Amino acid sequence: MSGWPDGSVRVAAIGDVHLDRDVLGRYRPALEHLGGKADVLLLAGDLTRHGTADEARCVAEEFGGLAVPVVAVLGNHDYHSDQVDDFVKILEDAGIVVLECTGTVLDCNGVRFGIAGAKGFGGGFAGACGSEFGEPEMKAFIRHTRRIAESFGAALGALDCDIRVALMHYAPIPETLLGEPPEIYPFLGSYLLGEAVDSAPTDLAVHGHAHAGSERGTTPGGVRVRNVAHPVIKQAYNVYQLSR
Amino acid sequence: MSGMNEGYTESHLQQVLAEDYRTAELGIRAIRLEAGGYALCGEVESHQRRALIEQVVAESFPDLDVRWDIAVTRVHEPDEVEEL
Repeated sequence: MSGWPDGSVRVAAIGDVHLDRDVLGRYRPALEHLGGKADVLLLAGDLTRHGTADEARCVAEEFGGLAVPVVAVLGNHDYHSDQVDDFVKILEDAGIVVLECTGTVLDCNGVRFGIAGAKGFGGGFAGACGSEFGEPEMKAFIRHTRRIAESFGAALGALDCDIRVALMHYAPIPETLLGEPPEIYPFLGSYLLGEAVDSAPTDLAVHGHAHAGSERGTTPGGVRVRNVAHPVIKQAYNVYQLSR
Repeated sequence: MSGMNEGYTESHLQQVLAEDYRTAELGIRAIRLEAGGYALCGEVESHQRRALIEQVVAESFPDLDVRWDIAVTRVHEPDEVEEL
């Protein structure tokens, strides 16, 4: 029995927490009352600084054992030490659901709440985006984004749910990058992710990665997008209420 | 980094802050000041990380005049809900 209207779900979200030993315990006071504020907590990638197993244990300690389910995607920092399998296992052992071009459906007071998640990647947006052309490295860069976007869109569309949320690390639209230097937009997100979000009846898209960006935007298909990078929202998490 | 062409200072600053294992910061911006030197701006997760950034920059750019505008991001509970 939640304190918000029947048929609605409250989603807490935060990205780019960059945990390590020096930050351990810093979020816990704000997470103590999370059960009275939200049905689920989404972590939008860059959970750590270097992606080590030790840092993953910090994430497990900080965000494990909460009053609500925790669903995460990884970010570029979490890949830095090439220990992704170990990293994911440590989080999963702590009860945190980790998505990568996959989805999960939670029962939130009788509402089927679906989340599809993916790290995403770069490539840029209309008028300033890369394409699969030229050197093998350039083709591989864009191909990586395209493959993620295709799988992510399929995972989003396959969710059997009442409310549908897309969780990413990289940005699906340029509007939530406002404040970042335009020159680095191709490293912050891709329109291919936006197309994936718009390929399903999505109620909300959440991402991080752009520390100097803006919180709010909308995809060309009308899906609300929120950049929840910690330096953007400047608090332990944001809460969004979605209704069936 | 002493003796390098000053036109590359901003690029080298960003590279050092990202690639030095002690900092691993991609979100710190270096802004060239008219009066000379640079302002380093952004947010980090702890006071320790801010101190490490200052240490790494001082090691790599001992002669650089830097104004420090790096904050530690707050972690208080939200008191608002956005209804969508």
